[in-house]
Amino acid sequence: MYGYHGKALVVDLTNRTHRWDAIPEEVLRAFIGGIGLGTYLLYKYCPAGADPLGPDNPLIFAASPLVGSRLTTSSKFAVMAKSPLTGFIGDSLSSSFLATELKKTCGDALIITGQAATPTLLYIHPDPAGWHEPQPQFLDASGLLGLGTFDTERAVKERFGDPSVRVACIGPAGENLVRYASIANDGGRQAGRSGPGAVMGSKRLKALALRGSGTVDVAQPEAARRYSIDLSRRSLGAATDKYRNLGTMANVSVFNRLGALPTRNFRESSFEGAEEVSGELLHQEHLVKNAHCANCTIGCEKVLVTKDRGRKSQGRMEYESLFALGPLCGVSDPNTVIRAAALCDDLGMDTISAGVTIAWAMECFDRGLLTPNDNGATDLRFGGDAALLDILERIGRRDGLGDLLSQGCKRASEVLGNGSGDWAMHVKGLEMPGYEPRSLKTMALGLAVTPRGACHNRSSAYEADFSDRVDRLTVDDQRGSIAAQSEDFSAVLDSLIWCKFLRKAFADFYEESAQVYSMITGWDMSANGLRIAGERINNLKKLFNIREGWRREDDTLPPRVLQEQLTSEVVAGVGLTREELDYMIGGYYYARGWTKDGLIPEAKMEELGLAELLRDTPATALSR
Amino acid sequence: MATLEGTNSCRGADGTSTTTGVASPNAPVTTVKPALGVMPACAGMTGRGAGISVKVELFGTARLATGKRSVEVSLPTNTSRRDFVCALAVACPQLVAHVIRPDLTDLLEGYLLNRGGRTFLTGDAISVAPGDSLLIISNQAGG
Repeated sequence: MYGYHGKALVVDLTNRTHRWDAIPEEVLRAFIGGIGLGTYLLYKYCPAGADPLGPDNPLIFAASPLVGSRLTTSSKFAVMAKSPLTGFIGDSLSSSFLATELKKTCGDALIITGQAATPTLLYIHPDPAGWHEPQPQFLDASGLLGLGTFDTERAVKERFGDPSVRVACIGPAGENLVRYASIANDGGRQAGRSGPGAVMGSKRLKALALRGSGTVDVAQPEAARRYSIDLSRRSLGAATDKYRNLGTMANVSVFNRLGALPTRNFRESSFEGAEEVSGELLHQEHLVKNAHCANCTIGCEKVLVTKDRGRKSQGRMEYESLFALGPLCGVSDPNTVIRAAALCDDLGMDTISAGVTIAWAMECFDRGLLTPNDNGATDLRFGGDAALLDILERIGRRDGLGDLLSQGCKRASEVLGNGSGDWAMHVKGLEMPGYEPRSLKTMALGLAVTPRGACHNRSSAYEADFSDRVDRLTVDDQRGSIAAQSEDFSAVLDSLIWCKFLRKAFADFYEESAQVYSMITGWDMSANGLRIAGERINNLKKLFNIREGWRREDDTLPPRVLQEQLTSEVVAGVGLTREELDYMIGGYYYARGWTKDGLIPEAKMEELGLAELLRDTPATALSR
Repeated sequence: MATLEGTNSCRGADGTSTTTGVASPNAPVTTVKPALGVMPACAGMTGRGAGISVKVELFGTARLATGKRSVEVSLPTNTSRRDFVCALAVACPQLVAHVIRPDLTDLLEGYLLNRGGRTFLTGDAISVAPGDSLLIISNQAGG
């Protein structure tokens, strides 16, 4: 078999056992890898109704057929689990050399079930004599407890005396079950969204160490090599210019100008301090170097350092961290934002969910619902630099108000009450990314319907809003189709797995990707076959959510978005009514071939082959 | 590519720099009188009666290359995309090959033109009114 192993390593932490489960060819063809394969495995291995923080919730690391091929940007893996934030499908992508070690040691996926009795370091490595499959070792991780992610990785590598060991780990946030804890890997990269670090923490799995050997075979190595060279060349052209020069930080000044930069908990959509935290200024005054993901030619990562007299801090900066810990919290000091992002990475928690949850709390302070005397809380006003850093530490330790905020803004608002849910900016429990939905109407739909919750990665619907395809400030009957197509496109991208920043380097994404898939696996694949795979994957995600209790009313946006109009100059008076959103959602369900209630008809299941593919999975829930 | 620490800046009609020293993204808007005859490819624009001053807002790579948040160019009310690009190239030669095609016929494929933060301009004809802003932004949205 080329590009795949056709099997997954299943590790049971409760009983300290492991086994290899076969993954049939038809499943690999149907779900490709990465997010798609991970979705299938989650559906299969997660019992319906499982407690996200209980032993039954599997933590899945899924590789893809392109991993190990040396194609630019392809060293990525997906992390899947039922999300402790949403109770629905949880998935995250990360990009690092852990992906290649994962594929060398664990087959196409690693499925971790159960719950260790004591803090554990799971070490998976080949049999030195070469007689057996890679073996997991269950090692004591008590000495690692309390360490940040960077120190944890360092300590694990030192323990094995092997810098080539690749490590995924959690920090204090994951240990303490902060619901938006991330899994750090390979030098501070994060599988951040939807709380996989909390799932890992619930299993008392402090770290995973992988050390593989050998190579991954591809069907047509010479063709793949030639294609790789060509794609790498294209990846350095105009199609990735923004990412190479400023990285995603470039979004700040553009979004601000377009009235699309969420500010002070989405009260406003432009920020008077935007220039201070703009990508251009950070590049000029704080840039240390560009950094690359494993096997990536683009190098979008910007490593920044503080320049004030405070404690020196250095780390990667992306737009989402920048918006969430900057404008959304009213913070315009770039040094504070750099410190806050680095702190999140070390504590091991998602910067978006952390920033959005803190912004919610800041508004609660503004409205007098929280006070400095509440539960050891700092005076969390918008723009409070020291308070932001203090509360991040408290969240990681679940100390005082940090305990409440560790639950995410949805649960925190349910505890606090007093109408604070009206400004809890989440969808399905996942905090909103940095796209103002009222001034990006196609994206508003994408945020409302995407199975993961408020997510900018599984839907790239914003792309239409930043083009002449639509009027971003109004709604029309085309948005449903656009949003569905963007989800399917993302599903294929996230399953092969290519980096999103490469997307404009393809002349014809589906055609080219199908050729690459065949080149790697030796299996026939067509552009249309990939399109259908993308649709199939999104239907299975929805099916998972239906099984876990999804209701029509879960596809919505926060009350603030549907009740308040924007005031920023370029978009003054622009809002989004519930009727407009429902109109777009109806168009989306129609484009998907679903019922008016958003359910999947049996005919659609048959059309996509899902009924047959899921025949062996327990508790298969067809449409209701 | 020039960085913001560099001394590159948009040039005036005689080809001299209109600003000196360290360029900053917070630098004030610089009004530049376009010299249409400076670049041969733009010679056709000369004598069309350029009249309306239009603010061109720069972001990302364009801002890094010029060290400016915006520049002003003069354009006829009804102009063409090519004429606009020429006017911009004359005002900010640093943008050529980084944001503007080397043959000065259009922006590079990675860039979009937007009027007033509201309307993306894709056709050849561009109509401008006094007080208009034209934004040059990357087509690589999101991240």
